[in-house]
Amino acid sequence: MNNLDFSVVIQAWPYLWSGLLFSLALTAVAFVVGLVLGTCLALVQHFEVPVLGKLVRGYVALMRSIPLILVLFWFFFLVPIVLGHLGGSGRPIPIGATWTAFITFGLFEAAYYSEIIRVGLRAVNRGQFEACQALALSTFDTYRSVILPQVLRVASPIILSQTIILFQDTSLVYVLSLTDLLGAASKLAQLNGRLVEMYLVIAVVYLAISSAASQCVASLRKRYAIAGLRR
Amino acid sequence: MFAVLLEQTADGQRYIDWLVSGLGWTLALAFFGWWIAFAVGVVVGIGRTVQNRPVAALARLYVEIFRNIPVLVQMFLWYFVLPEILPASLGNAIKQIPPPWGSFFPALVCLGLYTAARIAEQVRAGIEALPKGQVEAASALGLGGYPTYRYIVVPQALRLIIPSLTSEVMGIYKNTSVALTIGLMELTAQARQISEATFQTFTAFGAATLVYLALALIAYQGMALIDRAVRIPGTGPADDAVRPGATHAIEPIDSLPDAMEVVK
Amino acid sequence: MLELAARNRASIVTVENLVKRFGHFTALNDVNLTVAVGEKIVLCGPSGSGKSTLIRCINHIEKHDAGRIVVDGIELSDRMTDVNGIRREVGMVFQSFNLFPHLSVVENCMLAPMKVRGLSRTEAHERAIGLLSKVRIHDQANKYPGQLSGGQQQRVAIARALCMQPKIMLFDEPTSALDPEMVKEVLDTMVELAKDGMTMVCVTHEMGFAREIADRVVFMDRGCIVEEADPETFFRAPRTERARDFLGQIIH
Repeated sequence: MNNLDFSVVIQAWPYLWSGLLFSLALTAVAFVVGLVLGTCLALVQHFEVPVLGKLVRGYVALMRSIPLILVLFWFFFLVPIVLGHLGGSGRPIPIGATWTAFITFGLFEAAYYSEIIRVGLRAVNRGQFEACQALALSTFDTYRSVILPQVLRVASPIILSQTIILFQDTSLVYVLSLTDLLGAASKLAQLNGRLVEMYLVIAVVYLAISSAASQCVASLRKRYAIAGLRR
Repeated sequence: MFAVLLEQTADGQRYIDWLVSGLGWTLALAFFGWWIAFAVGVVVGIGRTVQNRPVAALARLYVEIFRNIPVLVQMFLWYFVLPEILPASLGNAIKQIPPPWGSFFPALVCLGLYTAARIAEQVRAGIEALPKGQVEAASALGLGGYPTYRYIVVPQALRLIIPSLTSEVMGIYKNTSVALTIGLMELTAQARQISEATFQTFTAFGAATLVYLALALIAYQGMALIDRAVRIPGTGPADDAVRPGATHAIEPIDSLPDAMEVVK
Repeated sequence: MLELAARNRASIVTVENLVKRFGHFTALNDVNLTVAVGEKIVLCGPSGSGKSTLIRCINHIEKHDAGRIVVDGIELSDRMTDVNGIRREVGMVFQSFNLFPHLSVVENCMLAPMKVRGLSRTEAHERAIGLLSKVRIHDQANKYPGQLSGGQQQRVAIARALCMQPKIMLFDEPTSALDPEMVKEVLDTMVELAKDGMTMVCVTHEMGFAREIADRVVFMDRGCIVEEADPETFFRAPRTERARDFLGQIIH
């Protein structure tokens, strides 16, 4: 067994820290974009909007059926082309791996969140819709003030669990050679040759963050069960 | 559009052969990884529900560790780190395993044990979802701990969680692509290689995507088949949430096909 | 002619030849009913007789297949653009309360007046507290529905409907989902409301309540109105066999 020397980690910490910040930023952006877009996608399916509803269903099924790494490769290749067409020049606009990662994760997670919300929408008691009708609330107010708040509340443990998975999945930007927490560790490991220490330390960092977050979700679930909000 | 796949490569094969070989590795990894995951997952999941404190704690520790470290990091731990922290002779022996097996085995262990943690949680949830009366009835009949689990609790819990196991099957087969980071030439890696060799990125990724989609469909259908095959007669499918859009209070009763399959 | 016009002016709901089907099942078959302003009608009948469907048609939660429904001078039809214009004037209380679980009691009462009637938060709050006091539950205003008993929840649901200041209140078996000891508090609230002059159509099997406040008891069976009478006559001497059977079953 080699001698482990964790002092290299202390020297490397600022670099790892910046990698961690990138991982967290990517998680946060993908969470916000994914949740907003995912809610829209879920509503489009829920209302069975002609054509668009079918397209969205296909998009969600596609995203959920292929590996995230392949999705990253796809977007890395496609996004510049699409942007080029949108820009009118027709020539690909290279946007770099960082932007690709943000766009991909936002769009990819939207598919997963939309599925959670779609199921949540189906689970809302029909009486809630009838009460809104009886009170003459418009469709917009019904969804904005009554239905979506309930769905988001009931689904929040699942949404948060999905977000923890999302945080772990951000490590896959390694395949785009980005410097997230894992990317930073791997680059340093190649420089200083201490890959055992590097990978063990970031494993512990991921473990600590994810399990702390899981604990929070679990306690949230408990508290929410007590608050008497469940019907 | 897919004509390029039939062209000759530098090594005398056709590009489509690369894809097929990649598919082979993907399937092998998913299939064998699944059985590891299922076996370990059921054991750990049961472990989480038993009265014995140390066993329950150990099972929980397993789940916490394997579920909360990204699968890619776990891949690196098995591939890069494990041979270094084992005694030098054993570590070197591992490093001597010729490719592609040198990548395949770490990937197999990694995906198996990672997915096992997720399955364990499903199994636990399934066991906890069973009515308490089942265990009480078993003990009233004089069944001990082991027979109660073996014949009463686990068979019911597994049936209960088949829908969520479907998503774990999908999960493990999608996660096989992570093995490309440790050099295993599975489907996604082959697609990228073809794209780099031919510059036909759209074709290469498109072909891989179609294969993944087909696999997902097969996995989904297969699990649905299993679900129906092992369903207990007289228990319907759980999913019949009322659609809020529909205003009909009484649905016409012509959804009989489902009921008939139960009888079969 | 003049007489007909006078009757129309005094009626708030007119149902003519109403038909409602669910697939092959005919829930309502040629139903006629007129509700005068200030009138209290109790609808009763065996389960599946169509009484709930009838009042759900009146505020267009169910869409009828044939016949006419006129509420407050406006005819309900598929083509109408503003069904909410009618629902605004019709309050409804459900068997299963249908309170909004994520909103506090007072917020449940404030939502529709603010969103639909355009009241300010202060006005809506004031009105909500006023009506919650009327149903004697204002001390629970900041609790959530899940923290209340069934009887309390149903009284909140009544207050919530009243906050829209409806011209007519529809009750769909308001006490059927309640534990026996909570039925009285809800019925008391409804009696009080009746005495204030509210126009009410109640689907209920509470015959004591019917005797006390109903101007008319309407008995339905298999999608048709079988018998209509004032409560005294109906309970003392039901004309039809079916009504007698029904009364025999629920009074024991």
